Amino acid sequence: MPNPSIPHRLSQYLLACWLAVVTLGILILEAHSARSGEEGSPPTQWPATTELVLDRAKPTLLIFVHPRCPCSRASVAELSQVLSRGGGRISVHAVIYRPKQAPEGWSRADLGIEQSLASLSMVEVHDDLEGREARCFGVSTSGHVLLFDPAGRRIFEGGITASRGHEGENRGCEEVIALIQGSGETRENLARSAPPVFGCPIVTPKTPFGETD
Amino acid sequence: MMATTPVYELSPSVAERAQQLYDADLDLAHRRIDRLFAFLLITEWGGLVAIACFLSPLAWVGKESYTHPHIWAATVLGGIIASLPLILIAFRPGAAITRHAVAIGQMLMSTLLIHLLGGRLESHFHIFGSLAFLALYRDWRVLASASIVVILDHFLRNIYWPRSIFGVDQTSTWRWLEHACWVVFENSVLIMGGIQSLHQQRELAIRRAKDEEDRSMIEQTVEERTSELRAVNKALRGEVAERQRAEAEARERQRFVESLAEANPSMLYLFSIHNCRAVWLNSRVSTLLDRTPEEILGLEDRVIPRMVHHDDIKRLGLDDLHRRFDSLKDGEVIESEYRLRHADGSWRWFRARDMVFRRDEAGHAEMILGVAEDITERKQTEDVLRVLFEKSSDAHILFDETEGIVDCNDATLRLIGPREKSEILGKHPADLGPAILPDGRSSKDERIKMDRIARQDGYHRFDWWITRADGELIPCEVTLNTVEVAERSLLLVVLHDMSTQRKAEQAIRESESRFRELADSAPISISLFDPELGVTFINRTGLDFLGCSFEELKGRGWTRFVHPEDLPSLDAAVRASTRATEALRFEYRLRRHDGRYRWMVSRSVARHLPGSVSVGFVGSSIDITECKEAEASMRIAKETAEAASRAKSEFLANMSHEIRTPMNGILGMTELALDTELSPRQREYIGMVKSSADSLLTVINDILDFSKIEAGKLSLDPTPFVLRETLEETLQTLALRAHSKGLELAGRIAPEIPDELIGDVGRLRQVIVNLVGNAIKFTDHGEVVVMIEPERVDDQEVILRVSVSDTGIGIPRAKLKAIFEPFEQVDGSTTRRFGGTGLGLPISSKLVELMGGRVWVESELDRGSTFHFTATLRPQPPEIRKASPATQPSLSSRSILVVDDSAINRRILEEVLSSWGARTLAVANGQAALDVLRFAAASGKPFDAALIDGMMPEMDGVTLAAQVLKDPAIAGVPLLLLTSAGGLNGNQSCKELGFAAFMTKPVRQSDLLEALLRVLDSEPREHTPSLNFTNGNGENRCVKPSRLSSHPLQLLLAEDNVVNQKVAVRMLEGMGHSVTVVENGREAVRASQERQFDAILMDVQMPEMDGYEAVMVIRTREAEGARHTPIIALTAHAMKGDRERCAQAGFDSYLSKPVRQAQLRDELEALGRSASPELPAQPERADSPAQKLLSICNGDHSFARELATSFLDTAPRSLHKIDSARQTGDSRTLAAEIHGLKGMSRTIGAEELGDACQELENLLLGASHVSAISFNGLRDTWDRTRSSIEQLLEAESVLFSN
Repeated sequence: MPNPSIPHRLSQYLLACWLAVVTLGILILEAHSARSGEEGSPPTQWPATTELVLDRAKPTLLIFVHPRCPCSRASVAELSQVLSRGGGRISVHAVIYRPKQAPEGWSRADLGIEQSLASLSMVEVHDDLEGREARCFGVSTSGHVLLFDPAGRRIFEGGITASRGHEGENRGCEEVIALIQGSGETRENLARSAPPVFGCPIVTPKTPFGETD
Repeated sequence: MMATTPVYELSPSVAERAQQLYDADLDLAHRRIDRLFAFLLITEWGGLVAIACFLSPLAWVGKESYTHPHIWAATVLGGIIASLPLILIAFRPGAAITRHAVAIGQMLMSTLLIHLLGGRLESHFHIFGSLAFLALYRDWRVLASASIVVILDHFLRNIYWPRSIFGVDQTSTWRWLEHACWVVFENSVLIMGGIQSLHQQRELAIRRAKDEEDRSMIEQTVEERTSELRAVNKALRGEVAERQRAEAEARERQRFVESLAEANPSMLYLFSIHNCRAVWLNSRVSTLLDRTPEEILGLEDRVIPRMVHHDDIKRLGLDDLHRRFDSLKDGEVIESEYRLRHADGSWRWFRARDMVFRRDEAGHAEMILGVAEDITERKQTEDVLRVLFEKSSDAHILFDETEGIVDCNDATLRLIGPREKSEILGKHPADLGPAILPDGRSSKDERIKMDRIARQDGYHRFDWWITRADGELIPCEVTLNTVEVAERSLLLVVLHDMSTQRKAEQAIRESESRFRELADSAPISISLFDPELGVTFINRTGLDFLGCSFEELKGRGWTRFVHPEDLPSLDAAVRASTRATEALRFEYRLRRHDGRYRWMVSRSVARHLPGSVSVGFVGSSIDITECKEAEASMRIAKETAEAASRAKSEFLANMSHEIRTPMNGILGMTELALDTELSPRQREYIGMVKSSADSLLTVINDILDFSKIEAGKLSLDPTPFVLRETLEETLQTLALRAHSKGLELAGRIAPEIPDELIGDVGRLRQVIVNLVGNAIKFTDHGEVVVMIEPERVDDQEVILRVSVSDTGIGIPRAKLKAIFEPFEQVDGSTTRRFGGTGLGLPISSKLVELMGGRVWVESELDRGSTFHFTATLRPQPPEIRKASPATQPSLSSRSILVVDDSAINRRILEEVLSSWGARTLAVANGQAALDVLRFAAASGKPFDAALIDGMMPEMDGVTLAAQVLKDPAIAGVPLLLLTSAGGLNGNQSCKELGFAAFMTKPVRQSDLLEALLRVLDSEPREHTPSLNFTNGNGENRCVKPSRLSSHPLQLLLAEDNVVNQKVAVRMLEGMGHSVTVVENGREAVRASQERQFDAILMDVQMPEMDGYEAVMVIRTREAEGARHTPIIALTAHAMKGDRERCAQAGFDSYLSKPVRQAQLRDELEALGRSASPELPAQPERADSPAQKLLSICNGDHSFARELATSFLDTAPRSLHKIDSARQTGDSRTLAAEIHGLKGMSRTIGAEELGDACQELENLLLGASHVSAISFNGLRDTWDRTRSSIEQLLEAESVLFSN
């Protein structure tokens, strides 16, 4: 039985259209990857309302994570890179969002983010019930990193990945490592804006900070 | 591609073909790889979706989630990427654009994968893998398309994600180029490999093209050669087919000839005259001569002619064949018939048709072709016909119209007399008869007519006459047949001599005439029946009787004369008569000519032809109406006579019963009177009264039994019994009479007869008593001996033969049979001399018949008689036999002397003693006894005891004892005297005479054993004559039987009547029992509940609660666990059925009023024994039922007086109540009072008054009107009874005053 045939010319038109559609799709996808989350409004000083304890001897790094956000898996990997390069010089607190009435193990399901954080030796993991601490620190996007000096002044804020879910060298990482190693400038001293944070929103963007659900 | 041109020269066609093959192979490869990539693209698409679902299932906003955009990207974008390559693979497989779309799609899949994996370095390996797969296309342009996409992707990634895409820290603007170069490098390697592969592909195509060209050339050559061979083959096949067709035709012709020869029923042959042998012949020779063709053909020269019968050789001249055939012209046939010898040796006739088949040069016949058919059967048929013709008993003549008679057989010559055949040849057959026939017809005219009919019809038959030579006219039956003989039409004339048949017919006619005259003159009706035609003849008498003609009767016409009720049975009888082998007789009613039905009896005799073929029957009938009427009259008379006889017998039985009842009173009172103190004269008178009463009772009993026999009501009542005890007891009752006449009475039972039997012992005893009684009666001297011998003894039955012999007056021979007839005695004087009714023997005879036996007698005048009878009894089954004594007392090692002049007595005693193990010696007289005793003592073995008959001639027992006592040597031997009753008077006499014991003959075995054991146990042999004297019953004569019961009981008496209460209490207390009295059933129930009694005596008819109800209440209570109390019913009804009613109600026993002391004692003793069965029952003297009041009071006069006084007080009150109830119509009170008075009366023995009450009670129960006369009768009876009792009271007062 002979194969049904498409004319050569029609094939060429189809090929051209196909290429155009595919290119458009790839561009949309790439645009999505490059779109960052809400910047938030982190305080410049260690807030008094937090239950976290500021390390008075060395800088304190806070990373806020939504445990089920796929993009944050890249943030945790990048934090690991940061710690491997200046680990003993800072205190690290991973604040993991947990909704009220979440079942046991909710945060440890699927992606293994909490497990990865817990496996890092210098990281102290905290449960953030209903994003209270995130609100306290003005953070709304998973993967947001804050670095405070022993005096409680904020010296860095922003993301530590290049795009959504993409590992690899990026500006946020470089700045944090520099600050840890003592060669970097504090965030306030940099003219550039803070590195974008790529991740899922920890709290609903429209929800005003300080309000409870 | 053109750069890969082959180095060797190719023809254009090969080159073109090689290019075609190359292009086709390449296109096929591309299509396959397209399909591979279709699979890969779909797999990758699915893989992308799976990866996205695994790595980025959901995107989150706080606690809310939604599908991650990567899943949509993998699904939609992946699908789009895969879609176009798949479409082109489906619709343009193998096309260049398809390959390029696949390459671009594959690289775009890599791009999407890298993004979904977050730019991980490992994802870049997908690119290299994809390029490797794309190299399978062996098209460098495809790799170029793919590489361009990779390079563009890497270039853009280098711009937007320079530090994430390459996985290293060292980033550079040209970093993307490095990766692109790796891609190019890989592409170069893959392209080189592809080019090499294409080169090889092309060479392979060229070789295949060359091979195809070579093969094409070879095939063309082969095709040419094949065409040439095919043409040659075709020519050869035509030639072969032509030859085969010719051969087939030849075979077909040969088969046709052979089939023709084989199908011919005759034998075909070719015969060589020269050497006289067969040259060819068909297979029919096998059938005709039972020789195979090969066998014939193999015969030597000149052998075949020897197979022809020598007569035929001579007759036909077969010994010179040349002479026979040489003269034949060609085609001329010569026929001949001759015989050939069959293989079995027989001769077979053949008819041959021969012709010359071949001649030699000189013209002589050389070979003969012939056909021979077997005509043996035809020849045999001809012989048979000839014999039939010649030897037939009928005259056969062949007649030709023109030539006259042409032939005839021997029978013709015999028929027409002594003539020669030549004398009749040429004549007409009619000329053999007279010119004028005996019936007057002209022979000439008739013969013309007959000939014409025969010629016309071919057959004619008629009667004729022949004149023999001697002038006698012979009647003949002539048959004419037209026949063809030797192609001539002739007449076959058959003359059958009819003279004998005519004579026979005449004889039959005369016989028929005689039969009819005989039948018509018979006074009875005679008829013939045929099974199919019905009546075929009836004589004149029968027709006259019925008054009709034969036409009306024939067939089944006779049935309308038969009475409709008798027709079915008569029909059956008629059918049976046809089949019966013997004469049958049947009766029926037939309507006579006057219209009346008459009873007829018919006797039918079946008629059979030889061979048992039924042709009906001969019936003869006679009018038996008058006989029938006479018979009916006789039957009525007989029935009337029998009814009268039965009525007489019943009346006799009733009368006997009525007579016997007061006889009981007479006898009882007489016996009681004899027990009182009487003067000798009074004792004599009363003794005579008792004797007379006994005789009278015997007569009455005989009459009663005879009446029962006559009425057919006598039956046996078989029960278990012990034979020897029975005989001993029976003989003992007769012993007194025998001994009073000085007769010996002995009985012997053969040892092999078992003791435990089942039979009517009462009737057996009655027969024995009758026979023995007769024997004693008619014997004045000598002995009466009863012998019982076995006729047959087995497990099922025991047949005894009982013989009673005496030494009396004997019976005349003429009377031996008559004595068994009722009221017959030897002669009238016998009755006058010996008395008796003459019923004893007939009754015995009947009883013996009932016992399955017979009675006969042997007698000799003045010498004595022996009566024999047999009786069939049954042995007791083992389960009901009495247990044998655990240890049989033994007399072993004891020696006992028997002294008796009676041989039978000696034999009996010897048998009995031997059976106990004793050594016995019997002697016949006293002297012999003394001798034996002394001899035994002298030899040191003295006898242990001696049994001595008291009555012996010469030396009697007493004298013998005295002699023994006188002799010290034998004085120590204990002596036992066997004597007749009353032979000795008291113990003192016995002691004085020196006997250790004495026994009345016939002695019981048990008494004898007991006496012997006691005597022998008293050793040392001190003479102690006072020891244990016994009478015949084995009892101490001095001891009187006690009237006190051996088992005192606690009794409850329920009785409403005061008199009855007193009587019963007196009786019971007199027996030693304790009695509690209550007045009705309710009190009896209460009393039995409060206390346990041994038994209850309960009147069934009482006020408040009667006996039936009370016993029901008590039994119900016992069913709940209470102990069973025996209850004896007391009732005055004494009617048939009362006993059964009481048993059903729950009573244990039953006594009818008036209750006799003996019956009451028996019942209570039975209760006592059941309570303590180990105690032996005390024998008790039976009371007579006629003792009435004094007997009831146990001879207690004061109690009798008290009872009489009480009765005289109570009875008038009852009579007064009866009168009142009668007047007021209170039937219930009336019945109750009458019943009470009846019980009271019977209790005190006032039977007459009791009976009068009973009569009234019966009338009331039957709802009959009770007249005043009946009550007056009661009053009269009461007056007589009162008078009688008052007289008794007066007498008693006189007695007591004395």
